[in-house]
Amino acid sequence: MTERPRPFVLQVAYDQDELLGARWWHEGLKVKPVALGDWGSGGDDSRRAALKVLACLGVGAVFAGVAFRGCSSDEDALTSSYPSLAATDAQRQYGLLYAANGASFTWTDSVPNDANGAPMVRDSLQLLAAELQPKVARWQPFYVPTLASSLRAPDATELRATIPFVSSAAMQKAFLRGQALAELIAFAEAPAKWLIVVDLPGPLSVAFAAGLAKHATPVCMFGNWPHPRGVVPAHMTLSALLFHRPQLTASPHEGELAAALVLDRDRLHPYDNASDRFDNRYVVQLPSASALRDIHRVLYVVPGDGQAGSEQELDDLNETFVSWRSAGIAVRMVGAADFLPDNEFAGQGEEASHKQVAGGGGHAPRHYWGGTRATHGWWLHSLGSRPPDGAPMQAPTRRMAGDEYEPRRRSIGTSGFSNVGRAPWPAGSRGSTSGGSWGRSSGGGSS
Amino acid sequence: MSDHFFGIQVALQTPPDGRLRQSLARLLRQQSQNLDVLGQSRLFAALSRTLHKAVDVTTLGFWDLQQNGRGEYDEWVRGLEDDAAERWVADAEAAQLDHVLVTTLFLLPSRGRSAHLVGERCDLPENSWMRRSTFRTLFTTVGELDFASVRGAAVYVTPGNEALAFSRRELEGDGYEYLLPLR
Repeated sequence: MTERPRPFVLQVAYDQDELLGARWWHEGLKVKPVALGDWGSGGDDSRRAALKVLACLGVGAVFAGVAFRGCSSDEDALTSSYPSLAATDAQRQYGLLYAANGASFTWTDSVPNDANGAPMVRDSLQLLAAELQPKVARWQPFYVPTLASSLRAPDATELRATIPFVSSAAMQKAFLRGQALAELIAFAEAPAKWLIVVDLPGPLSVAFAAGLAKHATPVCMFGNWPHPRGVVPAHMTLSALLFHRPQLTASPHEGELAAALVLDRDRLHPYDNASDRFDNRYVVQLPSASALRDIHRVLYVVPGDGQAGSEQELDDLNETFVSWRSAGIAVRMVGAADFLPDNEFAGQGEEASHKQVAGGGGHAPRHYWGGTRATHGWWLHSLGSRPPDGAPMQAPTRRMAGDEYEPRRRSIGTSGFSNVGRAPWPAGSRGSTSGGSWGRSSGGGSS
Repeated sequence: MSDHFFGIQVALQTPPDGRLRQSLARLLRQQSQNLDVLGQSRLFAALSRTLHKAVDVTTLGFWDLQQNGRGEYDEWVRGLEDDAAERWVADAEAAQLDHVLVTTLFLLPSRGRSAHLVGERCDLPENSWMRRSTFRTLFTTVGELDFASVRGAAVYVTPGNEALAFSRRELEGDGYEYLLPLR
């Protein structure tokens, strides 16, 4: 008999003199976006305003306690219009390898030791989700443990037995780029007012955040489980987390630290409902502007590799970035590809950096924004950081990623979100779970 | 994409180690785990029943409903959980240490059933917001939420140890100005 899905994931629990309590997050909850009109347009978010808007939505005609008697189409859309269930719910209930059809995980770029040169201790893998909890309390509410927690799944025995560390040349480069960006924080007057949003393909985001970790608390926001046929190669990100675990978990507990929200850019990877793939995509929910009242600057890290769409935020971030900007937070974009090895070492950069990160003892060139100390110094200065006295400064002579970026509200294909991360019900089981809420059909019209 | 924040905080006058404190503690300790929708519904239904029994000893309270409420939710969570990092120091000047704070917070998708339910129940004239009968209604509502349309939920008891308690003086002082007497 299969277990019911437990979509309310316990995020934190306290049982101590000061506090007894717990907090849950409903993983995979999907709400069909609807036309909101003036709703959420900012301004008055007060209790009275909320009541007013709810009243406009026709509240008062449709409820009778828990005995839900029927409702309008908006309401039905929430629970009954999806002939599917959330992918993570499906995996929790029916197994990590649900709908894998015999496929198994495959990894590339596996290495025998982690970033500190230590071998895998498989008994410790189930601790990963807890270890990645941000050390700085104010960022803990935003940590998404879903991916790391997949190692604790009851049927993850094989995954735990086989998952390797991975470290590719691209990851090593991303690590050095993260270190270069860390200088920005190191020389900033008030590092705690900085928030970095790292939005690269999963393993690269992990490596970049590891490079930043001495100066920015990593806050992982990976909201899916790995799957052998996954649209998002989350298993690679999981392996990258294991490789960089020593650096990510050694981030300082206190002091003047920035924070780095670590995202997987592949989370909204294009997917055409191909039946041989498992849709483990997801939408990320960033902190609201009011939760970032003490943040003055946001730096959004994108690949910056000239690919189409690489110089705008992903769709699920647009609304939040616009709200941050409206709240007076400066949101700047930086391309990871613009951090280059010092020109002095041109030609040996990749090989040298590979040696250092892999523990080979070779010389790794420092990376600089624009490729020189002078452009790097100029960049730090332009962002309000204070490089050491005497540091050279020179504006770049070429166009850099994000030069013209600022968050602007744009039309988002909302139907794309409503279909993100859905898995089919197993044959014959639809509607049999979750206290009868999933897939419950409308009881009729409403007034 | 916006969510509502719905939160209630009440101060209950109940002696340390009393039946009410033990009941709250037992309830929370039993349910500190991943839960399905039904499990979550049961937990908050039980909490609702417990709070109902405590309406007459509810001395101070606060509740709020806000649209675009993610920030408010995060702020409440952070504020309450930060308390866990500070060592409990009892009010040395108060004669009676007999109050406990119970807080429950929700993040509700704006067009979900739960948001509608809360909107309906909270649509009250402002002069009734602090009435005991209003809190009775709010407690009922907590027990009737449809957790298929709840994104985030939290419940806290402060202090956590059943043998410790606030004084009323503390809860009427600095940092708790938003708590108002029930009428």
